[in-house]
Amino acid sequence: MPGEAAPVVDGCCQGTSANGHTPRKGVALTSLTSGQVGVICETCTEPGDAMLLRAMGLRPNATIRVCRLGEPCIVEVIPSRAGEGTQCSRVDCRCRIGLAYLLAQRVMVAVEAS
Amino acid sequence: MNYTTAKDAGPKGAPASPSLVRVAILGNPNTGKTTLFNRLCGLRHKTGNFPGTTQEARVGFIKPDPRDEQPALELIDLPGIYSLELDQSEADIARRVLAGTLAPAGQPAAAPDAVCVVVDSTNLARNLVLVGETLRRRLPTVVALNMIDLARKRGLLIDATALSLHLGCAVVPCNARAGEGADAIPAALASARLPNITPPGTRDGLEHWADEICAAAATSHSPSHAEVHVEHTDWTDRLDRVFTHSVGGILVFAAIMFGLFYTIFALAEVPMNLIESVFAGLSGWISGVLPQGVLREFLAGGVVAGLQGVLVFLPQICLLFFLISILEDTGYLARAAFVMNRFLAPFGLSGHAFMPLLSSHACAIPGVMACRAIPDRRERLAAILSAPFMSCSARIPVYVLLTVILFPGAPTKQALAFSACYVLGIAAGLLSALLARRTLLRGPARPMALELPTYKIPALRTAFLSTYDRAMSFVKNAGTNILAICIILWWLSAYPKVEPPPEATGLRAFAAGFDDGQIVVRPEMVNGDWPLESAAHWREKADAIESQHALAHSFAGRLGKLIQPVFEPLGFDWKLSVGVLTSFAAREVFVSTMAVVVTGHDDTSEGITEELAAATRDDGVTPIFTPAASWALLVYYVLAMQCLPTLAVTARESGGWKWAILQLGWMCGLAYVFGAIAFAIAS
Repeated sequence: MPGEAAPVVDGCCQGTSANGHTPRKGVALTSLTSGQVGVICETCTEPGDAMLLRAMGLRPNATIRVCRLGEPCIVEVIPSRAGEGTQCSRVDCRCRIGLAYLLAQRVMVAVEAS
Repeated sequence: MNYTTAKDAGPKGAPASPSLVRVAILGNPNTGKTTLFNRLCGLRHKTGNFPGTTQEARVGFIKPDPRDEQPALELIDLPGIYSLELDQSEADIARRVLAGTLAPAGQPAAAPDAVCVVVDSTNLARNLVLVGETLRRRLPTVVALNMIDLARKRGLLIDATALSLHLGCAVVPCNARAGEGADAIPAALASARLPNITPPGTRDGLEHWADEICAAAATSHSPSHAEVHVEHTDWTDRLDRVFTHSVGGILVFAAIMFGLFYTIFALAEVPMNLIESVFAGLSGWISGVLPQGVLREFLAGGVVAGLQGVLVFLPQICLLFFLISILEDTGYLARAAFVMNRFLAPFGLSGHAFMPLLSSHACAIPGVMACRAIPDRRERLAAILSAPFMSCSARIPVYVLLTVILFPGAPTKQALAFSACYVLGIAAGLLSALLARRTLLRGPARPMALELPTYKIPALRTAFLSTYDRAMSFVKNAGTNILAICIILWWLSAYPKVEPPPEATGLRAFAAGFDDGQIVVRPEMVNGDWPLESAAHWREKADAIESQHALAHSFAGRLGKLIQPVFEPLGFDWKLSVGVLTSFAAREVFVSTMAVVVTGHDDTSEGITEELAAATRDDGVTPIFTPAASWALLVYYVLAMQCLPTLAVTARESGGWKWAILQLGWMCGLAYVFGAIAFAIAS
């Protein structure tokens, strides 16, 4: 149905992925706590939304920090530096993105040990 | 130079004329693209639409110093996008402009001679993806490395030369807000060359390419800068938590909105009164200078009144857009959109629609214009369709008149009825939006995802230029339509000319023999019923009788009588029908029209309510404003599209008259049906 995203089962996406990556196990962004850092595995939304989120910086392997949970869910995107894997400079290019809770539920994140 | 010009409008590679270089300005949202455009062009720009779209198109001009041998630049400000590949109308417009298949209205469609990609230095990796997509279009490109000052503050040092080498095009570091480095951009654009590299074609490849370039060009920073940034982030987190809090966020929002609209109402009143008095003076001056005749009536009653009808809205429009621009620049508005999102989502609208709907309570015209900020086309149209349902300030005189007539001497009931009108308007607007989103504008309700810009002190220059832009757009586009409508309605009310009625002629002839202040009476004329009055009073009385007679026999009066049967189910007589008809120019005209129809003068000062409440229909017994007809009229005015200027703006903002006509039909149809129901219940 339009407007409804794919279901989330056991922390993994069971739906359309616009980025071509193989979905890997993660937890929904909304299950993180405020201040927690994670790495995006997958966005399990409609292709259009997934493309937009990716273009906004919420792309696979991007590191995010949860600034606020709830409605909206606010994350800070900290892009990975080339050659550094998921490690990133804490003082680098970053932007804040607000997500409706429904959308944030569909962003799967691997929690990074702080 | 290796570019073709807009004048040539031919295929790429055609002989170039050095006189004018067309440049497309592209960039992610919140990169300072419009600030840079304003910095480069100042007031030398015009605003229109991209043909067949609701997307605003701004075209600016940079005239070089005659001593320089540089061509003039024509800048097209494209909508902010995150990627050229997105399935969004904004991205589609950008794609088509870069491909040369679309140009702002009135411009020849041709590929731009150069592209200026504005990037946010503090978010380089993401912005470089869009640069890569642009470079793949094989157009001469310049990258404007904006917000370089912020990057420095955050300890991020970007080597522009290295970046230029990696990108294969010119890179100009700048701070558009303060003007630093902006002067170098026109020269770089005039000499822009085709990029000498081709970025990868896949998304993954492009992102990796952007990361690598970012890593190579952006150098590290000192720990002290890191501390500064962490502190900045803490503040941003705290503010975000307050501004988006489920309760606190709403309270802050309500306080800001109250302040905004209080400011608009409080400050706009003075210039609005000034405009009205200036035009009243101008009309009087024309009447005094020109001899009586068609020209005088046309200028004083048609053109001047029409111009007043246009310019009287300007203070509200300017204030609204100035304050919105200030709020937007602070970074708060993006947070506020989320606060309102949860209320509007059930009606198929997102938080973006709240500001336009709220603005419409001041005036639907700036409200409809503010819908430009809604990114989704379907949602934008739904908001445009529902905005005029919000009770604007022009409805207030009508509400006041009718609630006072309905509940004389009962201020509590009057206040309740008055409030109910606002509630009814909001409910009708939201339900109409829901209906539109479920039928004509059906489409997925996209969950909201919005970049939250950093909190900043707003730039007054940007706010002033944005306000100027909106004001000029209103005057040039909507204003011309409003003026034409006002002139047509004046003509309908003033023609055909008829002889004054004998009663007025006789009264004027009688009073002619006396000075204004002299108390005179003519008992034989009125069987001794008339009180002792001054000669000036009798002259005014004669004018009133003549005005009533002229309006009754004018095209508008005849139309009123002709359409009266249509309004019969709502309990309107021909005089109310004339009031409804003329108030299509603007709702507030209703009260002055009724004043003319009933009393013969358009003085709507204190006492006119009593006169109107007591006025009777042609049978001399039945009141014009029966309780049932008043209820019907009240419901009708809450719901009806009684404002042709708003329709003109809807047509402009929606990209054609189709939606405006639908809006007119839907609102008037709804008003008619619910007005008839109200009349039936109240009867």
